[in-house]
Order: sequence, then C-alpha cells, then structure tokens
Amino acid sequence: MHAVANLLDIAMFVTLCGLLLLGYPVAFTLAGTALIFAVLGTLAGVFDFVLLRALPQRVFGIVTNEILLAIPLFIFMGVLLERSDIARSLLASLTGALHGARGGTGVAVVFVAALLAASTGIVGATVVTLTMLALPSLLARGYPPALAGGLVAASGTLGQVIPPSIVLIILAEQIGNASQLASQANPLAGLAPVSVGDLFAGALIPGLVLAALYAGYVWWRSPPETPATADDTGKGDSVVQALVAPLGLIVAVLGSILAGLATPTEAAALGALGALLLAGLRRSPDNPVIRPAVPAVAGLLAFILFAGGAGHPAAVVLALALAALLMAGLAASGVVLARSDILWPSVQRSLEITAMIFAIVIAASLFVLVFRGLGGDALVRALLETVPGGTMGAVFAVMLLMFVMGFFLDFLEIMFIVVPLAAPVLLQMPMPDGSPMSPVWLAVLIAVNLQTSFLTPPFGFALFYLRGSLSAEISERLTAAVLHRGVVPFVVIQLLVLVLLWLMPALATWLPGVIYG
Amino acid sequence: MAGRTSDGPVAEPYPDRHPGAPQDPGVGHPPGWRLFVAVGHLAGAALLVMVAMQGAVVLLRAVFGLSLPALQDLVVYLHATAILLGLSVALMRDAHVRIAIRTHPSPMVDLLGSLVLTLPFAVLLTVLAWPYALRSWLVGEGSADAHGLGGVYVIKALIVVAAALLVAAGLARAVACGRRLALRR
Repeated sequence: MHAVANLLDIAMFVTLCGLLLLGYPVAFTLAGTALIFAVLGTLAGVFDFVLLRALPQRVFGIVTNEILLAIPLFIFMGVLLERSDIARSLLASLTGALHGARGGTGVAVVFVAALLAASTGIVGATVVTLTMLALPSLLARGYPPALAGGLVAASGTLGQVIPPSIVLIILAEQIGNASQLASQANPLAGLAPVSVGDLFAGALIPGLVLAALYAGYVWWRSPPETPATADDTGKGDSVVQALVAPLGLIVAVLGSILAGLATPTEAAALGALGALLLAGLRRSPDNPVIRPAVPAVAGLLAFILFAGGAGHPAAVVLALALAALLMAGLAASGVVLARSDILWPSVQRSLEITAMIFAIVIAASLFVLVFRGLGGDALVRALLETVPGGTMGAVFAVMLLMFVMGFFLDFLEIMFIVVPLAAPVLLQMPMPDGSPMSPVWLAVLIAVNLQTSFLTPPFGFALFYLRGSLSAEISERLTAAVLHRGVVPFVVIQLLVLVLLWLMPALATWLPGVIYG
Repeated sequence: MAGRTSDGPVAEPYPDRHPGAPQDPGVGHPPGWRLFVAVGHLAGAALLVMVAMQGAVVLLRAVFGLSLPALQDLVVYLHATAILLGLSVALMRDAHVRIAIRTHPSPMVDLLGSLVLTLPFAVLLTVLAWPYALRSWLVGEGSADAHGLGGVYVIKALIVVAAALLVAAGLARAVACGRRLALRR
C-alpha cells in the first residue's frame, strides 16, 4: 500500500498527459485530474484533503493578481488590431513596399509577426492568423511551399518570445514566485527579484536575434519574386500610414515599460486604448471627433515628458482640454466600431481568451497544490539532484523535459506545472563559476526552448495549427511532409540561439542589467 | 483560438466553435444558453469598462499626478468579475483550449469529461467557496489599502456565483452531449 501511495504523484502526472490527449478542455482536465488524485491520496492516507480548503483563497488571489491584470488588456489590444484589419493592411503595404527587393515578402512576414504576434502570444492564435494572412501571398510570389510554410510556422511562434507577450508576463510571475521561494529556502543564494520589465528586457535581444536570423535565412533562400498583383498591395493605404500607427503603438507600449515610465499593466491599458483609437480611425478616417484625438495624444505625451504632473495652471488647463479631446475621440471610436460590429465581438472574444487563460491558471494551481500534497516536491528535488553534471546537467534535464512536454501541452500548462516545481530547486543551484543563477536567463531559456518544441516535427503544435487552417487547395501543395521539411532550417536556427544563450547568458541578462541596474 | 479573418472583420456568433466540432443537425443550443448569453454580456461589459477605467487611472496619474487607490481597486474588481463570470461562459461556448490530436473530439469525451472532470471541480469549488465568502461577508471585509474601495466580500461572494454557474454550464454541456449521442444512435 505504501509503495503504491508513493507512486501517486508520478501516476498523477502520467494520467494528466493521457487524459489531455483525449481532447477535453485543458483547464478542466487539469482540475479534474487533480481532484481524482486528491481523493485517491486521501483514501491511501498520503494526502490531507483539508489542503484543498486553500482553493477559494487561491482563486481570489489569482483573479485579483495585479501582474496578471495586464493580460486582458493586451488581449483586447491584440484582438482589436486583428479584427479591425490593421494587421492585414500592415502586411499588405509592407509587402507592397518591399516587393522587388530580394526576399521582400518573406522579410515582411517576419517583421509583421514580430510586431503583432507580440500582443497575443498564445501559440495557436498567431499561427492561425499568420497562416491566413501571409501564406497565400507568399505562395503567390513564387516562394516554394516548404519555405513559405516553415517561415509562417516559425514566425507565428516568434511572438511568444518577443515582448510584450502574454506568455512572458505569466512566465515572469511564475519565475518571480520561484525566485522568492528559493531565496526563502536559501537566503545566501543571492537571487534578485524578477519583474515583468526584467523579463521583457531579457527576452528582447534573443527575440530580435531570432527574428534577424529568420529574415536572413529567408533572404538567402528566397526565389526571385513574381510581381505583386493589384489585390494584395493594400487598399490604397500608404506604407507610412499602415506601418507607423501599429509600429508606434507597440514601440510606445514596450518603450514605456522598459523605460520604467509605466508598469506593464498601465502600458497595456494605453495599448488597448491606442488600438481602439487606431481601429476607429481606420474604419472612419475622416471622423471629425476621432481625428483630433491623435494630436491630443501627442500633446499629452509632451505634457507628461516636459511638465511632469504638476505645473503651471495654464498648462493644467491645456492638459485637461487635451484629455477631453482624447476621451471624445476614444468614445467616438467606440461608437464607430460598435456600429461596424467590431467592438462587441472583439470584447466577447477577448473575454473568452481571458477566461480560458485564467481557467488554466486556476486549474494548474490546484494541480500543483495536490501534486505537492502528494509529496511530488521531494520527488522533483531528488530527481534534479541526481542528474549528473551538477547545475547545468539539471537545467539541461529540465529543458529536455519541457521540450518533450511541448509536444503534448501548450505553453501555459507547462509553465504552470514545471516552473513552480522545478525552478525553485534550480535557482538554488550555483552556476559553474559559482555565481547565483539568473532567473531571467532561466526564463528566457525556457521561452525559447518551448518555442522550439512547438516547431519541431512531427509533433510540434504550430505545425498542427498551420495545417489545420490551410485551404484545401493550398493543403495539397503544402503536405505535412513538405511542411516538416520546410521547418527544419528554422528549428536549426532556434537550436543555434539556444546554444548561444547557454554559452552566453549575458545575451539575456545584459539588457535588464543596463536598464534596471 | 482560430480567429476567422477571411473577408475582413466578421461578427462572430458564438456557437460551438472549437475547430471541427460537428454540429449535429437538430441539436440546438445546450439548455440554459440564453442565461449564459446574458452572463456573457455582463462579463463583457465589465471587461470593457475595466479597460476604460485602467486607461483613466494611467492618464490621471501620468498627466495630473493623481493617484486614486479606489479607482484602481475598481479596475481589479471589474477584472475579477469579468474572469469569474467568463469561466462558465467560455465553457458554454466551448472556447476553452483543447489539445486536439483528432480534429473531431467525440461527444462521448465531452460527456464523460463534463461528468468526471468539470462537475466535481465546480461542485467542490462551490462548496468550499460558500463558507469562505460568508466569513468575509459577515465581517464586511475591506481592502488591504486604507484608501481602497473596500467591499472585498463582494468579489469573494462572486466566486460562489461563478462556481455555481460553472456547475450549471457543466450540466448543460453534459445534457447537450447526451442529446448528440442519442441522436447518433
């Protein structure tokens, strides 16, 4: 009996993976499995059912968590940019502008993916969007199906590692908790606390390196492009108009976080409102109420930068007037979008995505609670400490485990299960040179590793999503075998960056160090 | 996950829409559909107001140097409301993400999943959240911040509501899947 009871934590894990493959929604599979094993553990006398009474407090803690508050805001921003056709026109006008240049369309795809995927960052969503937006025009320009498919799959997952992605926000929260736990267990480890800003800064350079390598590869392999047809060069938008607005929005959001001017939540709110304004402007470019809001934003920014809060009464009156203009513009945008049936469906879609994410957060927290109650903590620690090769061996083992889990599970589940269990142990292990391990480095390694896993044939998630959203006609040219062949070079690029990160942790830790000291 | 963007923005009605959910003809919406449409509107309104309020908080702080803890609390409460109510709405609309190996998860999986996985969790949460919320309600628990909005017990009570709605949604989906199975026979 006792031996059986000891195996419950492992059995719980294996059962979870098995049940997930049946296709029932992930969140409830997690929660249900946890409960089943809590009951089994109680019956076997190795689990204290009273532990579960922490559940309502956990739910409360999660839904009022101030870091996670940024999630619905970023989701709303992403959904609005997508539904209001801003993403589509950005791609179309960039392609139009770069066409003729070698690899122009492919480079444009990488660029747009890096820019827009950042705001959504859930694996499936961006791959599906990009497949529908970009794949047909790549093929029309004469790109071989393998190259086009590989590029779209890779670019579609790139958004997770480029800030401001939701995945990174959640990862920051998780790794921050783990780091705190590790510090409590071992105050001498010298671990620094981790903020979302730290992780955004840490992921920025590796993300840009990935994007640059993708673009370089496409440039190298791309065929001479067939000229654009009239229909995919945009609907008369100038590149400037189509490009500057969304680019400015993302740069403003990211910049204000990295510069320490705004918390991620505040920046996300500005991003959401900015997206609302841009979407309204796109629907109704000559609207007399929306138009003045754009200079009003510029004026307010100038006010913030130069007057900084309090100031001369005249300046405050001016700021009030500008704020009123902005609010009128936002309200008008809302009305315009509501009339064209974009606003409410976007709100409802954002609600669904947000609820889906938080359901997983809640369920995973229950899963980890039960797993710990069954003694899984000690198991993980014992396993990690027996891995040969010391710290780096243990990190490698966790990365390998996550890579394999990436074939079966999505980013969120892996993060919520593996990070709280493994990261506190890992973070207490010193690096080979004796310095404490950087939580930011570990987090960036995890993010790039999982992204690689989602791309790796034959199980990679991104590939399923991509194939699932192809039209029948394209599907014939881009078979699974062709796609798998096409994605290999991108997996190699990913592995290259992983090795770089492994050998040069500074790639991830340098920028946060410079910005946050 | 699949945002369909074939011909510009599409107002998406929200029936069963996970990729490949075969809608057996003759099986309408699950029972209680309308209730959850209403809950969805309520939660959506909370989300939209939350976005606007958080924007207001940022502007007030950055431009006028005003910080209003009560308003920030309101944002958090609206956010919590949207999520708590959204959980069951998403279940009803089948918007929760799945690991779809096969493109057509069978109604049998959904039926068993509802009964064995979702419902026990939802029932347990209801049972546990009830005394938790009641305790908070009886002492009239306020905010952690002295200048906060207070009324934390409202959100805790909402956990009970959310859990009860989750029970209802789980039952409704089980019934719907049962109907589908019966129809296939």
